[in-house]
Amino acid sequence: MSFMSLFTKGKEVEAVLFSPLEGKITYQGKPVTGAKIKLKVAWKDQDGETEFYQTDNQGNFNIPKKTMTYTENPLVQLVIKQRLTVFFENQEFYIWRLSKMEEAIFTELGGRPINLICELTNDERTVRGNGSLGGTRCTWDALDEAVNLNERN
Amino acid sequence: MKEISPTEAAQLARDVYAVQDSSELGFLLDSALFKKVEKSKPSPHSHLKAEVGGRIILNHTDGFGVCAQGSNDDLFLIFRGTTSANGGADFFTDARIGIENSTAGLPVHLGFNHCFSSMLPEIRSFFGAHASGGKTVHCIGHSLGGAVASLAADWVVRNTIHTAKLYTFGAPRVGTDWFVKSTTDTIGSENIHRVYHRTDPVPMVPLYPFMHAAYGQEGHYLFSAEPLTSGEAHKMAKYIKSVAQKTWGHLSETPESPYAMESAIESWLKSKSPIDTSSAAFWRWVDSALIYVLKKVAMAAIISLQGAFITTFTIADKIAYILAKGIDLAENISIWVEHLMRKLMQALGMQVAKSKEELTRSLISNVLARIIEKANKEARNALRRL
Repeated sequence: MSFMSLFTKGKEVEAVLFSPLEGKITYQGKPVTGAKIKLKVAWKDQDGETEFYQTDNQGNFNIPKKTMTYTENPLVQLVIKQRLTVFFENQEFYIWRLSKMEEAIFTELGGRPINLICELTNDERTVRGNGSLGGTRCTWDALDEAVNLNERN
Repeated sequence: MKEISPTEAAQLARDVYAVQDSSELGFLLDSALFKKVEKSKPSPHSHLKAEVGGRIILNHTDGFGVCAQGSNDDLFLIFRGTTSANGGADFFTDARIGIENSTAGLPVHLGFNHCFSSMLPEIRSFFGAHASGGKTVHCIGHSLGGAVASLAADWVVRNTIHTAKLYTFGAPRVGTDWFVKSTTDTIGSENIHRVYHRTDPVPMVPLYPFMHAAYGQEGHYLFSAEPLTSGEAHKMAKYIKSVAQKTWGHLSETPESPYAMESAIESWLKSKSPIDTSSAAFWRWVDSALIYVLKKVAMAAIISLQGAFITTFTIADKIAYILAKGIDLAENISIWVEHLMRKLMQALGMQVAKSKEELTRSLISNVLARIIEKANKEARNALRRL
């Protein structure tokens, strides 16, 4: 006898693949203007989807929320791979790479980052949010945890 | 011998899902539990220099593990289960699971054994590099990772000079009675921390002859209210919440006692109440009752279940063999086989056998095979819907 006969159809849920992120990119303190940013997000295969953004003439960027809907399978751990790189002076810099394992918004850091600055000469620092693990070159002043985190029990 | 806390073990069991390559391994190992290594300054356009005291054992769709040096002169072997990028969890759906011999020559679940065996060359190599002294090796895993961790812990104690600590969360059953007894003696029951939620379906299957280590111990039973059929209680995030701020000593709730007591099992077997196959309780009763009846029969008939017999038949055949033997025994044994078969046939919506003469070995095998087949089909459907 197998327990699989007990499973009801998995729940259809919405998962946030990438929480909204806005900030500034700098190199040695100076804003990196008009630079191409590549965002790669994968969860159900290795390739995922790639999108491109650009910093404005003050080095600011703004990446909107990405979501998807899927049928949960309790036997399978959702792992969303996020990769953010910046192209600057013919080099590609990692600024963010993280595995997000919870469906809610802003679980990557545990809140919405305030005053995010990604200095390309920084070392990567390890990041642990709510069910997330990764590293980033970016820093922030604070995390707004009051945003609707919609924690699941 | 130092052991890590429930929260530390649970965090690692979850975080290992986030590691896909050696650069990500650095994030996992960036914690007080692991040995600090000198990191050279990374160049602007490359990853964090992965000077870590650890390595990935295997990066494979069916198995993934990490080995690492701890900060307390200890070692870590951490295994993960299936991720969303890997697709279906096939090892769960194969109801006609075979048994083969583990590296120690003990009968274990074939799928888990393959998974562990494929990682063995890397594990051997890792231990080769850390041969000195008798260290503690923390073996950790959730779900499939927990099954592999159990095999790893057993291997460590038999093949190295080190001692093992085993921490599993929602792990399925790995091996047969003999594997479990042997592995419990080998590792030491006080070194085994098997954590499971009341309504986590994964630890419940497969049923006999697969059992849980530590033999005779109840493991760390955690209450959960999520319905069995949702599978929610299997999630690692839930285990992390359940063990938060607790020591191993705190996590010693007794499982709901009715399932363990012989008199309660006998009452259940004799009862004629309607069957609800969607209820968690029903399957726990079936599980307890099946083990109970099989043991009764085996003890009475002094059946030896070891060796070649094990490898040639399916689970259904093996169980049918034993139960059929039980029918031939005296009334006080055969009546329990009758009761059990009646429950199973009722669950299948079959015409219940009127007399024990009808319960031939082939009928019993057929009933068991049909339940397994039904479960297998539903499993395939469930995965197809993903």
